[in-house]
Amino acid sequence: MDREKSCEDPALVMECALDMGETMLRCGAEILRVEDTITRICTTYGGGIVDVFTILSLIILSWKTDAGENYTLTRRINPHATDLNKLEDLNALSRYICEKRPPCSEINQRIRAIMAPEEKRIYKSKITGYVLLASAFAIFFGGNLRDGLAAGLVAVLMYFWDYFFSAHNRNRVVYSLFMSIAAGILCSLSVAVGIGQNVDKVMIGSIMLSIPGINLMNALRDMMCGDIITGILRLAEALMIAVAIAAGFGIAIMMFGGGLR
Amino acid sequence: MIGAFCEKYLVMIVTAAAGTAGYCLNVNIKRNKIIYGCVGGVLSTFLYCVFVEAGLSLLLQNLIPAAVVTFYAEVLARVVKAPATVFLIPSIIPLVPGGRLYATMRAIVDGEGADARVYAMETIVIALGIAVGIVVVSLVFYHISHKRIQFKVRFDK
Repeated sequence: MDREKSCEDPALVMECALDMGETMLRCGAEILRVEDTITRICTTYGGGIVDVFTILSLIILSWKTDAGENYTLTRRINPHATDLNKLEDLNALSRYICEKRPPCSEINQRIRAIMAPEEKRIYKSKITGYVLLASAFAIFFGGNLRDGLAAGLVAVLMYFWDYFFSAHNRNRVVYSLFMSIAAGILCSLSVAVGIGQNVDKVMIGSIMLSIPGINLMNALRDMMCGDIITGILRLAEALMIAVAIAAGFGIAIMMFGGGLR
Repeated sequence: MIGAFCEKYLVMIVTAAAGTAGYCLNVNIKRNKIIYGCVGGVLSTFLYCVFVEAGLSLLLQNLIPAAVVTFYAEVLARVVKAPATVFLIPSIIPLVPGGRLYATMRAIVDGEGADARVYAMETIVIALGIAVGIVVVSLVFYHISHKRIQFKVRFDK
């Protein structure tokens, strides 16, 4: 038996590998990336045979080490906001792990450092992002400058909506529905007050705020790599969110007297 | 002719760059990589405008820019050493049919079934075009880069 390779406790290694997998999945990685990372970490530390099964909400890891022992761990994954910054850090970390084989305590430390919960405060960069996104796309789809201004104002208010209500929501579909109703009402109000001129353009700008782009993209990439189950789950979620957004804005329009004659 | 093109589409391209930067901030991409996303967004918008002007079909108008941008993102991912998603998602954002989605919903709310059907079909065609563009190019890269992926070896050793 290879002494050098089995100096770590398999249970600890598996914990580390699952931590990596869970954090990556929660940050919005594809299934292939997650499974590949877990397999690589396990084989780096102990060889043997690794079986990983991952879907959107569950990772099952079963490992037969070179010493002939069998281990299985499962982990339930809770939904989490996509964060490509952290995903990039985690990707770099997994490269580092497979090259350097650091002890598990160090891996744990690094994952903790990356995933440390950010203090809940108002991020100026996020507000800038919201405003830029909404107002730029209001003009992109044919609005004038005043529509852009109105969309920007709505975006600031939507940021605060997100700030107060988005914590720990498990159901993104219902959340999107209510967020779009609020956004639609705000857009209509902004035009009624006289800031914006075309309610259509202002609304398109704020639709772009909540469009499920990452879900859709990941669904495509997953299906392409052969992970049909997760691809379908993600696609279904994305479509439901899109319908919820449309329904939300529709309800807001009807409240302000447009439509359904 | 170039002057007319600029006059018509400059606003779109500039706002696409701004919007893409906003999206990058929104999903928390690293600050030094936002510029790549912006370039991708400008690229996709520029190509989209060119193909609209050239009179291509609705499908191709979105398929080709999506494919080109995917190529850009996958190459960049290998150069800069970051997941391709980081560059791909911001670059695609200007192509996303948010306007059609709104128009569909508006037509349904206004009770104009025929319009709603046309807009819904267009939304689906655009989404399909983007999807096919991404998948075709990614598949090529996937086959190049994942040759060494570790599958388990149990019976054939």
